[in-house]
Amino acid sequence: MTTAATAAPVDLISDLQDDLLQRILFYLLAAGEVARTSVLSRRWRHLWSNAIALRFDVGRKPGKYGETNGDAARRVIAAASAIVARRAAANGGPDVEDLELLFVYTSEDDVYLMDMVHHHGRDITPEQIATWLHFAASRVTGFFALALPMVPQQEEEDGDDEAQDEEEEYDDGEEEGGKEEEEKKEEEEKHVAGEEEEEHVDEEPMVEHIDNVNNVEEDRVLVVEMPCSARAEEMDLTLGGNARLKVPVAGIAGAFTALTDMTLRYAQLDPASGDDLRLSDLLSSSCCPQLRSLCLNQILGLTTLRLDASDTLEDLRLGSLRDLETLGVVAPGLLFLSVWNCGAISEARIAAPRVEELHFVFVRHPKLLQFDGAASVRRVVSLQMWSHGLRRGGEGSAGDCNDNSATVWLLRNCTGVNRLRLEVNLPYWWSDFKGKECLDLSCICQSADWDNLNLSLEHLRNLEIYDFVLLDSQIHLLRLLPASAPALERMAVEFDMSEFKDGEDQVNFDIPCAGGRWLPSVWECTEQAFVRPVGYEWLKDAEREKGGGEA
Amino acid sequence: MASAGSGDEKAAAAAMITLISSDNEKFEVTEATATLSQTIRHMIEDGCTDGGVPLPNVTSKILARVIEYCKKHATAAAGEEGSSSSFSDAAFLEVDRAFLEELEEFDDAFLEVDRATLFDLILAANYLDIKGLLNLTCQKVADSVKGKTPEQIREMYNIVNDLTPEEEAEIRRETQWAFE
Repeated sequence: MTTAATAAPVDLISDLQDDLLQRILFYLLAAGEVARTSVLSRRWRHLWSNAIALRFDVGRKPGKYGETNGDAARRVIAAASAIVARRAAANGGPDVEDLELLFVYTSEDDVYLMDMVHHHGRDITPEQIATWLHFAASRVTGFFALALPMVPQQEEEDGDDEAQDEEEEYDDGEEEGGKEEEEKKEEEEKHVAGEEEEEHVDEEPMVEHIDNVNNVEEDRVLVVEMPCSARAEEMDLTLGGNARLKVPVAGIAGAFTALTDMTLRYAQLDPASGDDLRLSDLLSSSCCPQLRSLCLNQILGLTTLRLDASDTLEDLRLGSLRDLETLGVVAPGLLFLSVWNCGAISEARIAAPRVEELHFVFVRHPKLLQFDGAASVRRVVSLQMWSHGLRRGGEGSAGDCNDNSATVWLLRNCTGVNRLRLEVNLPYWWSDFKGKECLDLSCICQSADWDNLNLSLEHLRNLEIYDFVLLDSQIHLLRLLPASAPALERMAVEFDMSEFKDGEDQVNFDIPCAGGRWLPSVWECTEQAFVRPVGYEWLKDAEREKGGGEA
Repeated sequence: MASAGSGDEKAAAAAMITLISSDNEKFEVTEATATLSQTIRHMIEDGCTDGGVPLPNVTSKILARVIEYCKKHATAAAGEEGSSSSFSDAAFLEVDRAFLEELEEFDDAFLEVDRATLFDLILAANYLDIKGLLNLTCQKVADSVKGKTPEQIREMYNIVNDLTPEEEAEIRRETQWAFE
């Protein structure tokens, strides 16, 4: 088997056996690259049809002068569809380690542009999706990723108006939330179709119509049935925001016995169907015994989530689950927990006795939260603190929104925390006061609450405060926190520069803090070419000396 | 890099294995290094390594390189085990990152070989079942092909096109989407 190295031009690569050539082709990434090698020679001709990785990607958003009608993307979808269908039809044949069907454009930072209109979204049929999912469930052994764009409801001319689209999507969600309560009993299909008709009415006046047969095409709801696979190790499903996720009954359809990483984004569940409970079951330990990391993001209609996770689950991220009301998590091995933008939660019970890092932006009041695990938390990264807000009983409903009590509860109970990152918030009505101090007697800054925080952050070494504004109230907070943290070694403050006047090049930041010194650490060059500090760092004298301290 | 040091000591205390290349050269390695190869791991488990492990498919030149790779990565594996609680402290994360960077640099330098050696390494990694090395070397070949036209790839690897013009045209038709 040893290959003799000779000087004559020898075709060493074609001598490799098939599985080694397939391994090399695996690393070519794009399916097109692999397919192109089939014209190299006879030896290479049939490798492509047994490729172990099939990665199709519509790629970056087309540039301003690029193709905007989506034809290139349509070709990618057509090719992917044909190839998966062929592989599915062939009896036997090798399994696929990596199947990626990514039909959403990405930004330059490789983020899916979900809000963009994808004209090619109309090309994707329910039958195709069913074939892909079936193939993924039965033949993918490693990684399966599917990214579907939102199905455009009608042909629109401008595909780049993202801000507008985003708003539409937002309305979409809220509207649905309201409707669900009213029309809970309505049938799934009817419910969705009705909703979209309404959207039509909303959009119609804004769009100039070109006569096009496609315009009369019926609105389509894509249904994605969660692919259960005993062999896939990682799954990443991004379902366009308006695809309906159907969840099979756990245990009957099989289980994800090998799954370690699961991401599910931009999907809709029918809350009346019980899919949320089935999803909970499916992601719990009985079905996902190996799950290590789970991310659920932007899922509408998920009203209840009860995870009884396997010991292996270390990383749990829940974001923008806007309909989520009841959250229950039992995760004995969890190390990292992030919950954000889940404002509808009215009950959260989280048992995560080993959790070390917390990103927690969702509860307003500690009564809503039962959290076992605070004692093990070492890092709290991103916690919201309002420096101003109307107290409850004050005007309007803002009082509740700007309540710090959940944050304070966490600060009191996470007694082992050594790193804390606080984001100081100003309420939306603050802009009326810009640059002035708050004199509203019903504002929390006027109360004695600040002084009665009663915190004891014994282990806190590193404190970071973001979006800081030089207001007496926030400065007061900045004095209070170190006073309750005897072990503090470093503080960092970054300003919210939108609150500064444009020409202001000097920030008068002079907050005495015993045992150390503040020095500017982050600089910004303004449009007028002023260089001004936008962040300051405080180091304990001992620490600064250790770091070879400068004057 | 305290973790790396302790890994070495741990390994030194462990048993030594003798590997014998196709040209009869003997290499003494620690068990931790040798067991990066699943093939050798199975031999050790089966207790048939007394008197050395003959590797008739691997020359001494290639075996020396493979062992170099395994030594480095065995230390890395030991280091990882030692800092299993790496999640809990930023300082550990720093160490890990530095260590991973160093490992990456090692891999890059390791792959600076002529093409014949690269293919021999692929064959050896496959035979010895060293997943990391196999992936590394296959990736290197793939990288050299990436973005090239079929003509460029043929030239680069001395691949003779034995397809008739009709056959080639047919394949290009079938995979037209890939050429657009």
